[in-house]
Amino acid sequence: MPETICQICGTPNPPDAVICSTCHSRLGPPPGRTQSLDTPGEQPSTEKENLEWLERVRELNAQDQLSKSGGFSASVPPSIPTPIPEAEVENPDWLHNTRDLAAAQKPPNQTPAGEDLSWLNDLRASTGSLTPPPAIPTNAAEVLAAAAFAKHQEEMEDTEHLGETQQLAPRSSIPGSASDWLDKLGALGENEQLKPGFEDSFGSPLAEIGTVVNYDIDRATGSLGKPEETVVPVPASLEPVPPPIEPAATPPVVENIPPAQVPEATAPRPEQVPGQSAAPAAGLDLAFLDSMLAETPVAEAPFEHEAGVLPSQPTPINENVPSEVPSAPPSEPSLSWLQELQNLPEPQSAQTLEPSIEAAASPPSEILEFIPTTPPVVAEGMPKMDFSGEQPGVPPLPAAELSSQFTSEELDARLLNQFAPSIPEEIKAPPTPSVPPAPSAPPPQPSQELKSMPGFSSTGLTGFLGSDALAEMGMEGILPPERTPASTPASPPPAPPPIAPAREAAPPTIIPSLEIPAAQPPMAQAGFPDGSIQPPAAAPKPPAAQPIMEDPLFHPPASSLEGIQLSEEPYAGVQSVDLGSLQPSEETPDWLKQYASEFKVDENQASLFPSQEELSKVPASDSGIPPASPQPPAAPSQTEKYTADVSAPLDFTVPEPQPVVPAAAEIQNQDWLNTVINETPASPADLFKDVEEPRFAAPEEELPAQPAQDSKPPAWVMEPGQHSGFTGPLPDWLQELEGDQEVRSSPEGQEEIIPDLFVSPSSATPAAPEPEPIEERIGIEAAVVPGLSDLGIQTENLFQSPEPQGEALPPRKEPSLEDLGIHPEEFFPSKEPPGETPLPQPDWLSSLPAMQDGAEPAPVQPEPGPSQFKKDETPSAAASVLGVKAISQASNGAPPQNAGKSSPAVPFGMESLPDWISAEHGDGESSDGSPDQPALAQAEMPGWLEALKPVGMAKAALSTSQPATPSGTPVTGSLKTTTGSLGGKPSAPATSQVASPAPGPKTENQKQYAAMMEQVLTRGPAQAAPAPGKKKRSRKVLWIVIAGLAVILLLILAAVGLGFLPLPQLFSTETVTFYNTIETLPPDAPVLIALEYSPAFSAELQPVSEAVMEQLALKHARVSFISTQPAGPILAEQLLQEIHNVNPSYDLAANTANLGYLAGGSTALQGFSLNPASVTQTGWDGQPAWNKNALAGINNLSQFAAILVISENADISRDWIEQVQPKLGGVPLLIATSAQTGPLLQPYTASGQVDGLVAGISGAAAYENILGKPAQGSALWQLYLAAQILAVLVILLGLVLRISRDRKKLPSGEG
Amino acid sequence: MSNAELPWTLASFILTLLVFSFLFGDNPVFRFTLALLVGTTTGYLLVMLIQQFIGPKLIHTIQSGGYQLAAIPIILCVLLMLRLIPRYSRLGNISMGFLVGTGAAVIIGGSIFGTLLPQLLASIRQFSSWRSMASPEGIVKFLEGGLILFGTITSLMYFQFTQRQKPTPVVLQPNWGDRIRAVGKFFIVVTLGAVFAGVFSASITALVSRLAFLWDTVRMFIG
Repeated sequence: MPETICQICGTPNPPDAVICSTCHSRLGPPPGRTQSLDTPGEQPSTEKENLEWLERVRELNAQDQLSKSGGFSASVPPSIPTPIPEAEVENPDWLHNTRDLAAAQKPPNQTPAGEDLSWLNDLRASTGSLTPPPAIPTNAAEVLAAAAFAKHQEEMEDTEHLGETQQLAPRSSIPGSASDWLDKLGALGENEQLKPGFEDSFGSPLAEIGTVVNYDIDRATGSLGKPEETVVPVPASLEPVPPPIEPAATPPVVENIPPAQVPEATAPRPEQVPGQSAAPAAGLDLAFLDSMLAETPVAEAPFEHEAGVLPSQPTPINENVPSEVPSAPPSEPSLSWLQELQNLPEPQSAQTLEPSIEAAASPPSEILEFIPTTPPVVAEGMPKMDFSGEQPGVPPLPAAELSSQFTSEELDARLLNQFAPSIPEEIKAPPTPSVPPAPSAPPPQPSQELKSMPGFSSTGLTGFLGSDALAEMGMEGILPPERTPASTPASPPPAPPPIAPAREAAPPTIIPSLEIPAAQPPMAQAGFPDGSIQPPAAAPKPPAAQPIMEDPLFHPPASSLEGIQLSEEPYAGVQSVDLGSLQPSEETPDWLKQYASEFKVDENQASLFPSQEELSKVPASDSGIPPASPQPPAAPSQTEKYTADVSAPLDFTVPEPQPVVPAAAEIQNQDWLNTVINETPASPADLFKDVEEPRFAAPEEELPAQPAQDSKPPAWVMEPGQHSGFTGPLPDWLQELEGDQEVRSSPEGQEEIIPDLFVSPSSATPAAPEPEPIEERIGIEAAVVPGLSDLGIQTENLFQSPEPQGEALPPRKEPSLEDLGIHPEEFFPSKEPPGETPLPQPDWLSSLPAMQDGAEPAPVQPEPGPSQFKKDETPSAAASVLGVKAISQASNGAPPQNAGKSSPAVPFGMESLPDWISAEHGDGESSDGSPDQPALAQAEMPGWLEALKPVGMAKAALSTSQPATPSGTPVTGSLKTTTGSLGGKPSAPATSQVASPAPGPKTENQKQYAAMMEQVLTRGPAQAAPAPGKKKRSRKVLWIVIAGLAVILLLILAAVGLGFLPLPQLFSTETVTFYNTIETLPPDAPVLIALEYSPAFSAELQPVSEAVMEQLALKHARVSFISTQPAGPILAEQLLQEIHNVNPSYDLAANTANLGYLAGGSTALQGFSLNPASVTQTGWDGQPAWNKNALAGINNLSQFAAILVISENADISRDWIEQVQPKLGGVPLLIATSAQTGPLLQPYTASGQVDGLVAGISGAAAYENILGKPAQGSALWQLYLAAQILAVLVILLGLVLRISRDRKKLPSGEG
Repeated sequence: MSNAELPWTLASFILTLLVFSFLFGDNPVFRFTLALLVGTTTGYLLVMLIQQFIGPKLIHTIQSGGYQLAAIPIILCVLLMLRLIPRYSRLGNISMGFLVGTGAAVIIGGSIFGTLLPQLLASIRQFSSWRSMASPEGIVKFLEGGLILFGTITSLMYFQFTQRQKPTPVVLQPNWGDRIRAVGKFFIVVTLGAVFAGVFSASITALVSRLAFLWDTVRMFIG
């Protein structure tokens, strides 16, 4: 598949790519197209479809224009925009839109689609650019308009499918200057660059200006880089001085100009590479500018500025100029004139200017050159302007004459001024005295540079100038008055519109004869060549202008201004504008209008156009530019705080500033634009102009004296509505906010909770009083959020500005906590420092229980319940966490007490380190509390910021003194500072009354918790429990020792024998009954013995089993054995063997039977009780058991003489009792069990269900004793008795040890 | 001790010492002894089941022609063995149900008729001798009955929670229910103590028995 070429950058992309990999623009058709993605085979022509949307935009614009002029509708229905042509340079979308608008300025059949460009239509209608020029121009304006219009039409036809940005390249300009950002709006082509010989363009005859100047805003920003062949462009920096306006003739029509259009006009115009055809105009009306530029001869010598050298031309953005772009004619204008403006020669000396000023009554010859005549001519020395090509013979303006006249900034300002709306009538510049042109002066030809000036088109200019809309816009002053070689200007040039920033003087204009209302510094100040331009005569005194914010961009350093003698007299033709007298235009939003009357320009506010007074006031040796590098703080103590962690100061070096050309009068007239311009920094560096630079420099660096204005807080920190430059009435919501704020009257009486972080250190901010300790509470009920001042942070030192004192700083050393103003003891103040005054509290905080400032809290009344926490000993939870102490010393600026002490470096570089951190740092000194003076001066905070401070929390400062441990034990570790903070003594929880009405734990639960917390806090590390592992090991060793001793003792006793120990003499009833039952059995009685015990309990049960068996053997009873346990039959066999051994005469085969194992548990017993023969058919030997003698005559269990159950398990015994006993029918049931089961079977014995019970070894011993045959049971009984005694002794010993250990663990005070 | 018993005695002696090694904590020797015990018991049990139960109850029945009598047990046994197969484990629920049902019936019947009713009667009988309260034995018996009754009631009331515990208990004056529960707690504590004492006694007995065996063995070997 073929690769997809990006329409913007021309980079080939994969066929299936949607986004260009280079410029990230859409490759395919814009969304909304009907292109089906499911049909990959159908690959639409991207190029053609991309252009369709652009075409639609253009058509739409054209329709708008027609509707404006002849019935076109203002609103153009949106349509699919024409895609950006291929190989168009990468430019912002808005620029594309503007270009589309220009491109849409085509015949009605080419209706561009796109956004609603009705505002452009309005502009065009007002400017008359859409109005076709008259067939027979009658004046210079018409000529210019016709030329511009024609040129524009040609451009649109030629470069229909070309984006204006494709031939644009960024034009180098002074960063931050008025031209800089204008230049960056568009990109020039490769070859479209400002030529060094730009000044030559300005040298063209003044008459050429009239055909060139065109201050059509939209076209100025849209049609960039469209060279024109023959039209001499008006230099862009030329102030569009409106024509002389009669007081009652042409009222200013500023309101016709939509504000939105102005930014377009103020947008930097990119350069245009000479030799290339200008790109099609972005908008319908901007093409004339391109046409004007296109006529600039390319062969003109580049403008060379004598004063300096322009920065190197930047690389054009567009690297891939489409081949289909028609090559520009040789006379194509370029935007190099703008660049050349920057290389203007040294300003003319005052001596040179004087004659110019004196001759202000009549337009100077240079100015006359710019006065349009019929036919329009190009003024000499003026930058070449682009004409529509109708006057190919218009020579370019000689640029050499302008090389020493204007600085780049002034030219840029003029460029902007031409797009500014007309100034009010009352502030218009006085009419420029008409100066008869030089008879022999050839018609000025537009230089190539002028032609390349974007936005200039002779055709459009002519029409524009000749229309009433021009007068309405107040832009009549752009063009010099018409003049003929033998005639004088019809009328003095009207007063130019005021400059938007409302400076004192209007920016200098290239055409001083054009009445510029504001008197600007003479052109010589800006480096304009003297003598070439005469300032306007009898210029009205401009209104008081606001000083321009000193800025390195607009105030070049002293070195660069050396040799430049700035005249204090306003330059002729430059008029200052009082912005205060400006009236908002009708198009100004209402919300903005309300501030218009009170709009005041703050001197500290950044402005693109410093007044000439400011420029003149700047001495050569001191440009007033603050040093670029941050200055170290003045105070050594303050410096040290912030030099710990910063190795090198931050570099805020700005590029070499250049003089700033004030804005054009037209621009000054736009109040909203004034606001924008005033508040818009000229350069990115201006954004940080108000920000206090952090001072991280070495202490040894000297700080220059700071002007008083540096102490002001930055604009963005200031009160709402008090923003620098805006002093108008605040909206209601802001006013309410201000009313709720408590403006601090004096720093001394203020307690900063959240200090101003961006206040210069020079501001005198006394320390805030130490806040009162935290109220006695449990939890964080009274917790207050401390401020940075409370934490000891001297905010003004955080971002220190150069100290005005300029004193030498001590050597840099590692700051300590004290140096940083951190006094951990202050976090837990015991008392208020003297001289502290309570801070005003907001209402919401005052409603809380009052906390006494600077006074010891009331002692807690002892109560049986949990103790109250002393006020001075209770760090609130919040305070302890935040490490806060309402520092009262933050504002006094006094050095810390322990400034000389060394302390470990604080990793955070903050002063407000909690006490526990300082304690861990080993700074035990920090725990020694004393209300130290704050290390940082209290900053002055705006009211609105202060209102946000939770003052109440700051007041509840912790006691400064380290609370003593109640127990008196030294406390170390992180809890050192919190030891004893709770104070009081916990009381035993009981149903006691809640003691005191003082704030404290109220409920029992709270009291208990408080007591517990106090115990935890007061418990020192000595009382800490040992490690678990260690404890476990000790227990194990102890256990082994004890067990071993016991075993050894028993062995000894066993060896020795305990025969001396008596046998049990007291027998239980159950044991006696048991014996009696067996004893009373008749001989040869069938007895069923159930051996239900496990071998583990043989020690207890085997003796009794042998005893009973021996007794039965003596009776010659027929004994049958059965068991429901697996081990039963085995045990039975063993028992029979033992009996045979003891009594060999007892015939086991004839007298005994082993029924074996009975499986089934209780169920089996139930069945066995019902039909024993069927359940146990065979015996242990596998032979039928019920045929044996032992079971002879036995069919059921009731036929047995006795049933003996020998079991250690209570359940088994219970089963026999529950299942079998009911079926026995009076047959005695005897149970021999273990000692653990005996108590459980006692109820059965008491109830009569069990006739006899022998339990444990003691029972066995007793039975043997009763039987009179001591046996194994008796022997074990003695040893058992000894073990019992030993066990009791061990238990007692353990109890004693536990009690003693518990006693040690208990607090000594609690005894 | 005969020579035939000597190996077993010696084995017993060694195994006893191995078990005593648990004094020093869990160790492989002790685990070996446990494993030996478990293994021996399991083998013995298996053989005994086959010899004492399966053989005569099942095989012998089948051999004797009692298929009808043996069919049901065989089927239930097979179904029970199917529980080893997860796919057919549900079939073993029949056998399990039969076993559980019969066992529950036996236990419940035995508990009621073998424990509950006789114990009630016995408690009531304690007070039936009020006529003989003139004698000291009668009085003692009456008091015993009263004490038993009181203890039984209070112990049962201890397990009766009629008052919901609050999340933040507040110490209040105990009411009569709390006092009764406290008495019942006392009886329960005493009972558990008695049981613990019996268990302790049994353990001591086992210890001394083993120690005695060790000494006897040592003395036997020593001579």
